[in-house]
Amino acid sequence: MNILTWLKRRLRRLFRRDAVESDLSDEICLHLDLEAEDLVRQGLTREAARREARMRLGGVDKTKEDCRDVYGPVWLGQLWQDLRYAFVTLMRNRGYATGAIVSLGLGIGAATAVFSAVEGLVLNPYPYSDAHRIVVMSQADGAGAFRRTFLTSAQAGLLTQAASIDAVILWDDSWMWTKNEGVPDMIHAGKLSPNVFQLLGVPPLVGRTFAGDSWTSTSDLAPVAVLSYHYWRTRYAGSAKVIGQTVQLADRQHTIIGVMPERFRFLDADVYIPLSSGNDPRWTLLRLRPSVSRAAATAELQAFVQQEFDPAEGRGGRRDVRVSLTTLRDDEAGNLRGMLGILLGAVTLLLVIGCANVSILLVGRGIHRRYELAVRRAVGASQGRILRQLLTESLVVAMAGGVVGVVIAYALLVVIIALIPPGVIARDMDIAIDVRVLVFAFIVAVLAGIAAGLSPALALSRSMLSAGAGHRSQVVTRGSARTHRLLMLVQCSATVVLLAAAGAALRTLVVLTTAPLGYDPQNVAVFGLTFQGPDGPQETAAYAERIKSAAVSVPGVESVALTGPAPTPPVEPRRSLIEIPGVSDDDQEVVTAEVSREYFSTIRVPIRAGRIWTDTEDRRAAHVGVINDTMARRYWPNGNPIGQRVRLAVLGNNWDGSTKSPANDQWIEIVGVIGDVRNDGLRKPVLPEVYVPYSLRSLGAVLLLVRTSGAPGRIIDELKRKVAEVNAQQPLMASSSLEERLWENGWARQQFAASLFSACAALALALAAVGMYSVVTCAVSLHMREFALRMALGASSARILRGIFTSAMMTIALGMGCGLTLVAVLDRPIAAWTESSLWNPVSLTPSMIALAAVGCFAVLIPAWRAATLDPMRILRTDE
Amino acid sequence: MTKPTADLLQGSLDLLILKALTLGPLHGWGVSKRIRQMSREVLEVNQGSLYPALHRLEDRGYVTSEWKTSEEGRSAKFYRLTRLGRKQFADEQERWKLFAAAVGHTLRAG
Repeated sequence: MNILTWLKRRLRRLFRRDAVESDLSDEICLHLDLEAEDLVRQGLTREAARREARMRLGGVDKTKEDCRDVYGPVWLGQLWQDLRYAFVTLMRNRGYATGAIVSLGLGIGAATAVFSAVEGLVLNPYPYSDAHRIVVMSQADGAGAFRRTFLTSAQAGLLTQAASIDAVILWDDSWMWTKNEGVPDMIHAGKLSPNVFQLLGVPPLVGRTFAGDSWTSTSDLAPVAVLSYHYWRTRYAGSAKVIGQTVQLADRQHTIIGVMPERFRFLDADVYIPLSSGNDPRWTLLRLRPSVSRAAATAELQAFVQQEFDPAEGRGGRRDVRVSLTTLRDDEAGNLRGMLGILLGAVTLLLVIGCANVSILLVGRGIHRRYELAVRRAVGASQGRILRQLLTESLVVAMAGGVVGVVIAYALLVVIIALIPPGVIARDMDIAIDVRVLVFAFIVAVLAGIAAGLSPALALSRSMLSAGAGHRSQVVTRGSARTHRLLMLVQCSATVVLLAAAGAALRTLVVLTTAPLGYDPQNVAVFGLTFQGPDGPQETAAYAERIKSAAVSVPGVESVALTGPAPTPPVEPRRSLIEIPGVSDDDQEVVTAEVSREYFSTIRVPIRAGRIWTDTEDRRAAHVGVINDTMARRYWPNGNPIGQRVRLAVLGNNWDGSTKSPANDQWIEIVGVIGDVRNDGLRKPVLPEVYVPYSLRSLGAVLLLVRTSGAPGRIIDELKRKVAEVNAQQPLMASSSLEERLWENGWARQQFAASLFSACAALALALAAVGMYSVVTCAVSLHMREFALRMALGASSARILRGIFTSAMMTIALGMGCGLTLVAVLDRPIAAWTESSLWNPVSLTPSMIALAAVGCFAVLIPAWRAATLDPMRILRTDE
Repeated sequence: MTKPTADLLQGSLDLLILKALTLGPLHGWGVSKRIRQMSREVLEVNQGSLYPALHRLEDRGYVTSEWKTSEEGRSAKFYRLTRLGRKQFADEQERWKLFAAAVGHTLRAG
């Protein structure tokens, strides 16, 4: 039998149904005519003949049905029928349809968006080729803290010879002076060894990049520059004619040879130039050979490092060094991973709640339709047919929910990425909706729809319903009621967990934002100043003083201070080894900051003992310093630190890494003790810190801290003018204020977490409320006749109300109990993963009260309706 | 003699239809008439099962159908045996002969 003709026939039946039907009609009609004629010839009258012909055929419609059945059920045709019917039914019950679709859509959308974000951050966020092979090398010295390794060109050359290393790149980045249409400005320049572009593997958008085979020969490379996309668009208006133009960086003109694409944001630099030759230690990244594991590479590098060099600062000789290699994404996203993992769990719970809602609604619908389905069965629909139709309806709801979920997922991901606090993830990370996750979520939706619709469908299609016993099918309703209770329980438990998470996040946020900082960051603006002009420590100090006095003279400025170009609190500035005679050897580590004397008054740090150094001491780089409370308590618990002398190893190096001549004294005398300032993030304990005059190390740049009486933004123009008066070529770069840095370095992340978890919890609460409402509504309508009967027999409406209310609240209470148990169980592992604990009465109590209140409200409305019904009216209508 | 019931005819209906068509294309009513004629007025096909059977045979490829004008000038759907149908008829005929012989043997036996 020819498959082609078979197919053609089926398709014709499907698409040209009218023609097929009229064919059949004509055939049967002709038969009847011929038979009637034959009978007339045998002697019957025309009427009798026609009647007899019909009887002999056995029924025109039945014959037609039998003919149609020969071809088997046309699946597509029936499916189309089912779909149409499903649409009509949904339109008629808009409330239920909307509830189900929105619940599902929210669950899927949130889950997909967060899964994609986590996957993007955790799996492959970078646009570089083989990004998983690029590793960051850090090493730990005796004290144990791992810090990034810096390599000199020679060391990098040695490292390239290691068997597990494919390539080593070096880079440096700094803000360089440039002139933009005559106006001095600063530009963020990334100085890259020539193999960087080749290693990262991102081709340029326009023109070309620079490359070389050996990264030691950078001095041979002409002064060229590759622009970043962002800089190209803002400064050169995205013009293709930019190739060949020059850009001035410090004192050299660099020829622009190319532009990188938008996704390339390595170092977040504006322009990339070749790394200058030199023997200073630089930032480095390594790429492992393809089949080498990180463990193997770490072992090999460890041996290498211990043999070849020991770049510990300020101290020669060998030490027991431990090497650690982390991939790029662990380095950047590691700090977010714990939180994102929990967020993943949270949205999964949200998805569960959404699916449970869909289930509840579908089961409820099923109960309402049992009469209709009974009639259908009686008229002759097969069980399979009814099942198919019910499943089609669930599928339509599930698909619609899936589509809504897709839209929500895309929108939500944009919001999440926008909310991720700046500085938390590198800007060159690439996060987009993962299509696989989308498909997965869609499949989950479909499965949820099927599962939700299946049990009532099975129960209903199976039940032996006769028209008389129709609407009193106890089996169906009891089973469905049990399912409803179970679903409500699940929803309540999940909501409790989410509320607990939100509460914990909010509490941590509050704790964080109200924690004592030790300084006052309000209204302190920060400016970056790279010195243009002065040379040598004396000249630089004098120049800096002039800048300072110019800044103070600006109206609205209360005080001005200078610090070395290091991070401001609450981030740790710089570490140094210290030798405290009589107390410790040279293996203690403290944090050091170079500041001007006004620093303490500008950021309002109290003096505990002694004094701050004077103006003169500041200017002539006196070897004095102050320490913070923590340091005083740690090293002189019973004595007096004032007057003691300590040796700071960091003073033996200049800022550019070159070593000072050994004649330079590393000793300083402690003249005062000041209050603790948060210097290791907002939650870790304060580290011991030493402050020395900034003039002790010859600086190429400083940070200007300006406390203003009003908003810091208003004084910028005037300040720039005053600085220009001192030196017209001196650019002043506005940086984020101290308050902004506080946000970026701690509060922002917690706020991100708190807002996301709160959103999840709120959504969960809303969905759960819908679920509870639906369950009680359904139960009430089921027992409507029973209530009416009881009320007619004398029960007060209050009793009815109480009955419904208590039974529903018991389920909710049970759900809350399960949820709380879950929270207690999850508390320990989650606390290990992030820093907040779920089981906390302060945050749990209001959440539980909120849930109970919402539950009461959701249950009360349908219960009230039951209690206020007119019993006579209900009993009379034969429902 | 009472006419054989429809059940008995059901299994052999296909065979009879195929036989009727071996002599030339016919429309549905024509098939019924021809079977009556060939069986000397003994076999009266249940008309309700005739058309489903014809459609079934067409679905399996043993016959094809075509709308043509009959001798009386009416347009009717004529069924025609295909080559596959002829082969099927031969097979069915063989099977029927075997069946009939077996029944005969059984009835004649001790």
